[in-house]
Amino acid sequence: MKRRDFIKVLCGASVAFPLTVRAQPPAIPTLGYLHAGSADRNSSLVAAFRQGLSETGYVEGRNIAIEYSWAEDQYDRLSALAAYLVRSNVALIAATGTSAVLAARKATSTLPIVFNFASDPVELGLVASLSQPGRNITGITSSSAELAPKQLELLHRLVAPASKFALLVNPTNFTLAEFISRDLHVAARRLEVQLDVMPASSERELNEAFANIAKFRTSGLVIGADSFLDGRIEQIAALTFRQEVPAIYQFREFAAAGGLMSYGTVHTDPYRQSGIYAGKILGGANPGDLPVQQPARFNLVVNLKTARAFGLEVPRALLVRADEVIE
Amino acid sequence: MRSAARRLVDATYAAGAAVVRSRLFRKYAVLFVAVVCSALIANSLVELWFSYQDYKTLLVRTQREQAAAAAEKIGQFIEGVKNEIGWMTQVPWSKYSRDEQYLDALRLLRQVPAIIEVVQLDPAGHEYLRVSRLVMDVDGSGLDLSRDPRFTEALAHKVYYGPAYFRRDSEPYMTIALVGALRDSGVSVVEVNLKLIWDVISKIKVGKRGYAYVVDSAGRLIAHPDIDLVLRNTNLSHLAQVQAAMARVSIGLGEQVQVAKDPQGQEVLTAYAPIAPLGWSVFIDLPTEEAYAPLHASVLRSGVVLLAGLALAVFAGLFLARRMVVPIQVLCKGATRIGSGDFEQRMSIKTGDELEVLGEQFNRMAAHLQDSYANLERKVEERTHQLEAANLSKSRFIAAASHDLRQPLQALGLFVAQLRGRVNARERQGIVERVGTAVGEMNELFNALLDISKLDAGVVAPNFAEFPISRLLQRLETTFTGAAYEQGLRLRVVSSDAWVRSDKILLERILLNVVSNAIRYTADGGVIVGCRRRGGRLRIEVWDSGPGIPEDQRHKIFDEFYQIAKPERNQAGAIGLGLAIVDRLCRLLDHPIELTSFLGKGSRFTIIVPIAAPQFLNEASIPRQGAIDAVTGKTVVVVDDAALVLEGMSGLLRKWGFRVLAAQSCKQALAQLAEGGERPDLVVSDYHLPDGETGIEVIDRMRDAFGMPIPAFLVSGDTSPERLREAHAKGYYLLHKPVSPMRLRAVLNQVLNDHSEQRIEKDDDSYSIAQLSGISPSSPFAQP
Repeated sequence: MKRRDFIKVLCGASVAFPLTVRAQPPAIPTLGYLHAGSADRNSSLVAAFRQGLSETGYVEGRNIAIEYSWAEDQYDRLSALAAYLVRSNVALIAATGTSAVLAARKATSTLPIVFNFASDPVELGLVASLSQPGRNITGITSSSAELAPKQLELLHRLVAPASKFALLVNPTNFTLAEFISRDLHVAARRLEVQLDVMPASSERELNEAFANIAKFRTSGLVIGADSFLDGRIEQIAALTFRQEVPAIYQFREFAAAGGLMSYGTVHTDPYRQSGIYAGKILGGANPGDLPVQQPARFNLVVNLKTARAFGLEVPRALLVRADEVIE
Repeated sequence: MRSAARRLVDATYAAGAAVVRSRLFRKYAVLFVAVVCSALIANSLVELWFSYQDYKTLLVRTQREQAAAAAEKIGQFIEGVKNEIGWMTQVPWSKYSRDEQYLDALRLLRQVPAIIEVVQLDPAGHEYLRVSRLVMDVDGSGLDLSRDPRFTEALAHKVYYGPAYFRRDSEPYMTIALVGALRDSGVSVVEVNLKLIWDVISKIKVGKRGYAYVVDSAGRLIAHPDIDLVLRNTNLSHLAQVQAAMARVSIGLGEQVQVAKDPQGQEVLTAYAPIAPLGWSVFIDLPTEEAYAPLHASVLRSGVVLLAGLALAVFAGLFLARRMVVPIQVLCKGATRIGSGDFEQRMSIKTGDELEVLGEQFNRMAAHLQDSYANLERKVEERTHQLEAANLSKSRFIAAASHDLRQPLQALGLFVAQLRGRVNARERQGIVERVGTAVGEMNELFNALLDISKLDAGVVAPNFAEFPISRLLQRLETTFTGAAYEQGLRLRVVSSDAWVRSDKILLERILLNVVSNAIRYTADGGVIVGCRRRGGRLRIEVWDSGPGIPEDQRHKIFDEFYQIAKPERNQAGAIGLGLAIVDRLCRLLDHPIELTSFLGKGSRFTIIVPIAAPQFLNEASIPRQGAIDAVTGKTVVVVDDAALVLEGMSGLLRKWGFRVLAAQSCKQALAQLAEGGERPDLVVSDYHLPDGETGIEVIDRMRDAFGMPIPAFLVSGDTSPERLREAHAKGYYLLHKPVSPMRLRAVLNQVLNDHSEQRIEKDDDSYSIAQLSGISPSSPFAQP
């Protein structure tokens, strides 16, 4: 009697088990990745993002699918791409760059959005406060925009008493460009130097800009944060080196590629952090409860080779201050 | 049949045993299991209790130590920052150039990543220099901070630890202001990003899922491994442990362990330690689940061990109970079978203890029972065989008796047929005589059968007494002298003065039969009767000079109807029961009988009788002669309602010389007597008379009528023992019909003789002789 019951249970189990297994392949969630640049120029950064994701247990292809939406430097496409991602019913949008974040914000007010940009989210009205974002959006700010005056100051200390400075920005990344140029003009006034703004939103404009920089004998160039420009660090470094323009940029890669100096966070850090946040939200965390993260460390890198090549003497105070000196 | 019985036993046992088994088995098993299990459980519980206490103590100590260590580390972090600032305040203000100060500030920033900004105040409390990581440096703004606590507190206490604050409401910061060792060295004020304590706090490992965190004096979270919580500007002052810490730290106490909820609402074991100069507290939280996991594991292990122990105890209990109960069951079952008669049952108990001994005793008992039973069965079988043999011999006896009865009947038939024909008086006389002989034979045969029947039935009770043998021997001589003479034999009886102890009448019957036999079978020569004393016994020997008894027939002669073939002599009158009766009487009296015989020379029968002491000698012992002839002229009254019997008997008696008065009732007899004016010498009466009158009444009335004890005896066809007892009670003889003339004559003589002796000796043998009505010497009186 009991044995018969046992067999019945066994049979039932063996029938029911495969059914439940077959019925259970969970449609793995899809994450929308919105970026103003192109895939080939940002592969290491996206890798950092995926690294962050995997730290919270999400591995692309295994339990998360990523829908990449690259605007290929055409910022006007971002809104359409964001709308497409929302339509695609992705679980979350990870947006990189101020324009991309704003496009995503415009596309949805319900889907979770993890941002990774250089701006101040409070000032942009994206979050209520850094500690309590409150809504469907949170993320990482590299504070690069905020650092632009400091970059001008550092460059100024190196090239002083020169006083003719220029700012390279991408005007199509309108909001960020506005912020940076506004802050930098204030800083220039404090330092009592001249500041010209050079727009560059395409390769052609970039070359034109550098032609103008040479033409105007610019004594120092601050390169503003922007996805388009970020994707061309080495190219820009080469341009500055070729035209002997002392320049400062936020990422160490710039100085390493022959640029004069860099001051800012590690380029990949915010990508990794945003990956972690995306993973936390996928895991059930409320984006409104995740505080906006800011970098705690800023590194100053000085390329002494470039300085020598330019005939510049690096003051002692800068060398003391520098976290890294490339010789 | 045995197997059926066994099945029945098994079935009843199974029913009974099921109850017994369960009771006894359960009792033993439960007892054993209960004892062992309670000991095990008690031991486990005690051990568990102590290990729980020990573990808890250890846990508390570990937590406290960890909290203290964590506090130490955080303290070191802040202390490290302070010490780095110290380098800036080594130089007196007056000798401290702006460039040098600037470089020192930059060095400090490089040295301590957590410092985000350095402000140098001059000894008067004015801002002299501001170096920042985030914003542009400021030279000599001259901002007056002389009343600011950063300046005043630093001056007052050498060092000032500002309260934690949250920059842009998110990142925790604090201010440390340090005054130089020298009088006018100014004050260095730095802003420290406390987010970097994360490097320290996240490295503090507490168990697997435990962690450390820091709250400030207001209960705000300053450092936590989950940086999000810090950046969210979390206030933990609502937590019980934080409240307790705030209260105790403020009065300088610390280090307490308690169970509380952590910021995530999880139950934790928490300890804290104060970071002295800052008013902060470091908490060490360990989820209770994890904290007690080893304890739970140990409880689980103990439980498993206990369960295993219990299982073992149960098995052992069952095993031991079984070992105890199974032999008892075997005993029980065996006893049940033995009790139901299956004595072949043997138990096999090999426990090597008292139970085995008990089993063996049971087996021995069963063996004994089996033996006795078998013995009993054998005896029953033997007895059955004996009974069957007895039955068979009875049947043979009856067959033989029938055969012997048939002979005279056949002869009678033939004689009657002859009488029906024409016969003259002479022939008729011859036939009548032969008819008489045949009837006599039958009569004798019936009497003998009756006697054997009585002896076999055991109704004859010997009446032992001491008496002189001489008188008996004399009677023998009297009885057989005539017969011996007729046969041409010499009879010699040698008298003896010995006294014996026996039944006088039965002993006489034995001797009568033996002597009569001897006379009958002896052709010539003689018969001698004599006595020898042998060791307290008297051997009464009867010698004859007969043909002797062949060796192979000696044991058969005592059988019924056995006669040694004697072709040369007519066997009429011999029925072959004499020695059978002798044998039975000897056995009854316990008188051994011996036979010695020499073929062709003769035989000797010896009856061995115990000798008694002589008592007295009186007249009775003197034999008197002439009693036989005393009947002539005596008057006999015969009363019988059957006319034929009356006539026959009357005729016979008249023939013997009696005067006979025949009557059919007492009244008639008395009338006849009165008529003739006679006095009767003897009364012979039938028992059953008309009108319910009995022979006893007849005799009584006769005696009453004549006022004297007239000799009398009774005759009856009723052979029931009641009649015999009744007659004995009155002291009368009772003869059973048909009465042979010889027997009648013998009793007549006896009665008349006894009567004449009465004045000398009271004879009390009447009952015995009445009992043995058929025992009689056959020869001299057979022919009237």
